[in-house]
Amino acid sequence: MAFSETRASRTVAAGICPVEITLAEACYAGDTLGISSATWVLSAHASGEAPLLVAGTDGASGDKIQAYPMAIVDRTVSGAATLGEIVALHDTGYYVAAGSELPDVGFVVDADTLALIPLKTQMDTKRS
Amino acid sequence: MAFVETRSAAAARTVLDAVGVCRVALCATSTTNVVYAGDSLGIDTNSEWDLSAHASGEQPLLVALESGVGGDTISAALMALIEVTTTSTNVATLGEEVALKDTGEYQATGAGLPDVGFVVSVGSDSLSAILCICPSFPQLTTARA
Repeated sequence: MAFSETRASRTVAAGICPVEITLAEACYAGDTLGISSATWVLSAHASGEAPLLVAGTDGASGDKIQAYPMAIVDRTVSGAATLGEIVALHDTGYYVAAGSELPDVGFVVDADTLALIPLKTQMDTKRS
Repeated sequence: MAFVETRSAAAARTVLDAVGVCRVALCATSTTNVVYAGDSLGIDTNSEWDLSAHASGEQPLLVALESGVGGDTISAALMALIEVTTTSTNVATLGEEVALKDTGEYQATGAGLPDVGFVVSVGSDSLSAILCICPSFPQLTTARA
C-alpha cells in the first residue's frame, strides 16, 4: 500500500535557514506552506499555492512562526513508507507517496522521518 | 581531462559543513560494504541505505557525514560541503556541475550520470576541491499542476 500519513503536529528534527513568517491560516509543525494572496497559508491544490517552506511549529492564523526551506521532519504516525521513496504533497496538506500531478516535496529517510525540500521543484529553469 | 576525484580510505574526504542532518542505518545485509564520509547514499535492492551506485540503480539522496560499514548507523545530511582530492590531470573547474560516477566518485557531469552538486572552489595546488553536494534535488521533479 502506498505511503500516506495523517496530518497532525509533527516534530521538526532539523531545519535550515529559519525565517519568521506570519500565517494567514492555521498550520501544524511540519506542514508545507505556500503563498495565497500575498500571505502564507497551508499549500493546497484548491488555491494552487506552490509549496515553498516547512512550518517549524504549530500556529494559528495571525501567528508568527519560524519556517524552513529545508527540514527533517519526524512523522507522528507510522505508515507503509518505503526507504528512499519520493514524497509528494496531497492537496489537503498531508504527505503521500509521489503521485500524478502532486508536487514532489522530499523523500523518506526512514519509517518515521521525512526529508523535505518543498521549494526545489519551483526552481527548475537553467540559464539558456 | 575532465574532473574526477579520488575515492578511497587514503584520500579521505573532509566534511566542512552540512545541513539537514539525520541518522541512517547502513545496509545490514551486505556487511562488507564500505561507505566513506562524503559518499552519496541511496536505497539499494535490499531496501536499505547504501552507497549510491549505478549497478543497483540506487538514486542518490543523502550525503554520508562519516565513514561506516554495513550494519553501522551513521549521520547523513541533505546537503554538505565536502573537500575532495583530485589529481593534476583531473582538476576541477569553479562552478562546474558535479555528477556521481557509477562507482561512487564525484566527477564532471557525464551522460547518464546524475547531477549531485557543483564545484565551490579549487585548491591552490589544484589537487583538491570543495564541492557542494545536494544529491536528492534531481529526484524531485514534479511541481504542482
